[in-house]
Amino acid sequence: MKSLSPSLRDKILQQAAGTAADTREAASKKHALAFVVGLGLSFGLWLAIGGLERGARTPAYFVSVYVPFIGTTFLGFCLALLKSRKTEGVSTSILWGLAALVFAGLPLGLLASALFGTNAGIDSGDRSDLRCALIGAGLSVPAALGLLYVKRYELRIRLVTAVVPLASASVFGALLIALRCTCIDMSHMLLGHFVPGLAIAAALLVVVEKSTAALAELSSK
Amino acid sequence: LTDRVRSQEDRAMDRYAEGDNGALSIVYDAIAPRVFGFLIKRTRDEQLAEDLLQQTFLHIHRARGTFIAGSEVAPWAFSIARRLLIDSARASKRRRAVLSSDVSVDAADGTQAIDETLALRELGAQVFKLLEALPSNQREAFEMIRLDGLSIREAASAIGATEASVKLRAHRAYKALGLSEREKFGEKS
Repeated sequence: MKSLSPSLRDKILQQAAGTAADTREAASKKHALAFVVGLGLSFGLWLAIGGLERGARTPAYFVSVYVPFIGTTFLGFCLALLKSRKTEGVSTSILWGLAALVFAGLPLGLLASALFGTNAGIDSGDRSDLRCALIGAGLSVPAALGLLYVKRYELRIRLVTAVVPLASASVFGALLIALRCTCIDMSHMLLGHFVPGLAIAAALLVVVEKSTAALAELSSK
Repeated sequence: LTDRVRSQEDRAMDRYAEGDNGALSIVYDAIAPRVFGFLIKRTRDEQLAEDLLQQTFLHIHRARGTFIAGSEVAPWAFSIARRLLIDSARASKRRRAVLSSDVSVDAADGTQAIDETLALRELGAQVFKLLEALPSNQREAFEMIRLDGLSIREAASAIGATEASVKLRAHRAYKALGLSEREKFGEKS
């Protein structure tokens, strides 16, 4: 078995000493800031485009549909930020399971809407699938970037770590656009609110994959 | 894990994450030889293995603030080294060189008789072929447990799979390689 040279040890320790690195306390502060800024930007953009639009929706409709939706979003953020007992993270299958759990909130929102919304006799508002899809996807991006910053070192090692933050951010975007859009037509909610969440999560996953691969390529040169 | 049962390097990594810069040398001395062994078996290139070890420790250093208090540093280090190895292989467009065993390294030391060396090389080549024929996830589990000496728990953490899954993969690899039950798992957990 080859043994390690003392010069390599010195080189590595010197390199570490000469490279800035956050301590646990500093990292925690930066992560909290990134999360708040990401969410704040998404929320600020939502307010900038008009914020909540009540339309013909009743308070009962809001409570029945959006309270569970907000709960799902909150759960998603908790899962995205949750630290396991292991620094290297939980298994891939668990990560996909958690992402699926977060995404399950979207069809559940649709189901609640079907049960409580249409039965309440609310008129459906103006419909524009593309507009809602673009805005919803756009609103989820800052939140996603904030969460990905928090997970950046884990992403470098295991890309799949991105799935829960991306799922959470896209559900958040879907929630914001759903609060803004007064159309409660089921097909619109599916195409305009649900699909964009999935699409933006998939697109960002590809972007993250490409960027980490490019970083790896650079660092190996 | 309590401090009582945690290893010295885990406690050192905790201190390092809190800002005790001197603790990195303790972490290095404890895990660098294992990680280097893991890297050189796969690269068969001392320079590349040293380079990847350096990158592994640089990542540990940069990400020290994310080290979870009370967790273990070795599985984390192996998962980093594993990823760097994959990236390196992809970047250089080379096929990952899986390594046979310590057989070839021992043989290269020139301490054995020529006939014995040739026989061992032949055996190593056969093992290499058998390993190559395994599905990659089974081969990886087998190598980490059998060749690198990781426990099932450590291998699972490094790979990012459940312990049950890694155990099953390794079991299938042993079965495919025709190893007997007695020869199985040099596991620690």
